Amino acid sequence: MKRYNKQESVLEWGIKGQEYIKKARILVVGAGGLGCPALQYLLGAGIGFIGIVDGDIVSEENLHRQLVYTETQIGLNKAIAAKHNLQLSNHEVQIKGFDFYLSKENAQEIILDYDLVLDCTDDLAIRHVIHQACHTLQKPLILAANYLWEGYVIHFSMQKDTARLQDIFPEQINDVPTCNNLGAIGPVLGVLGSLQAIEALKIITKHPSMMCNQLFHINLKTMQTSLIQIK
Amino acid sequence: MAKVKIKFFGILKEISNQSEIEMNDVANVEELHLKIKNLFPFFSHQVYAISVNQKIVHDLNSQISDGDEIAFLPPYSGG
Repeated sequence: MKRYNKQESVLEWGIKGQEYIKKARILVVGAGGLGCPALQYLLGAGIGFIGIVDGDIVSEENLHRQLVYTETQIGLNKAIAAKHNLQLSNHEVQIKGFDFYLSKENAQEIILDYDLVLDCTDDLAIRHVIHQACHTLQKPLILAANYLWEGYVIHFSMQKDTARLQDIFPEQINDVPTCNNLGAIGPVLGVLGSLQAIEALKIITKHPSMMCNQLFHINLKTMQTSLIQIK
Repeated sequence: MAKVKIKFFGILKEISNQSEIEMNDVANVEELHLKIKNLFPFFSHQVYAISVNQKIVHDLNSQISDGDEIAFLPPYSGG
């Protein structure tokens, strides 16, 4: 198919890689500043089935960084609005929107149907819930988080000797600043969400990841990066 | 006793008003941690991971050697 010619032309990817992508099922939790760019690249790559979970609604102050949405969608649920717009860009990809938040009660049931999960949320407590569910179900998890010009991406393999989120940050932490109280720079989230999509595509196409069980930190102001081993 | 370079990420950079400092005469992570908290008392109210040479340390008794690179990394949550 012409649509994917350019990525199939990448030697390490090839037609085989595209077959893996077409069969893949990826869940994106949070369709905000991280989720939007991640979704756009996963959709563009032709992932077979994408799930989007978000109970939030589109607001005017989201639009500078959440480029999936349009002005006319202000007030609509993000998962439903994103599904609608993404589907217009690629009708072959199956997309399911969950118009509610992921929680301790529903996490495992939803995640079970997917090959891997992208944590694009903005709350440390729910990040631990997602992590625990992925760990229980042995589903690879790619988490990203942002602080002003900085951010990090962590790839938890969820294999036998996987690193755990609680190895880095305990669950009982309150008042971790989010985009809502700090502000956010659109392209910084764009870079982080794109990195999540890259990691997901590496997993799906069975390429080795240098980020596996590591924390990749980037400062987009100073352009300094660090790759930190978690375990 | 070791001389090390210490990097602060995220909000810890704002609190310390520095992205990087050097420190002398530290033998292990616990000693370094105490010195940092004395230097920047607000660190006591923060949660963070500490890495030595790009590896998160879980044992505060971990030894520190001359030239090691230490990082203080708080959780971020923006998304």
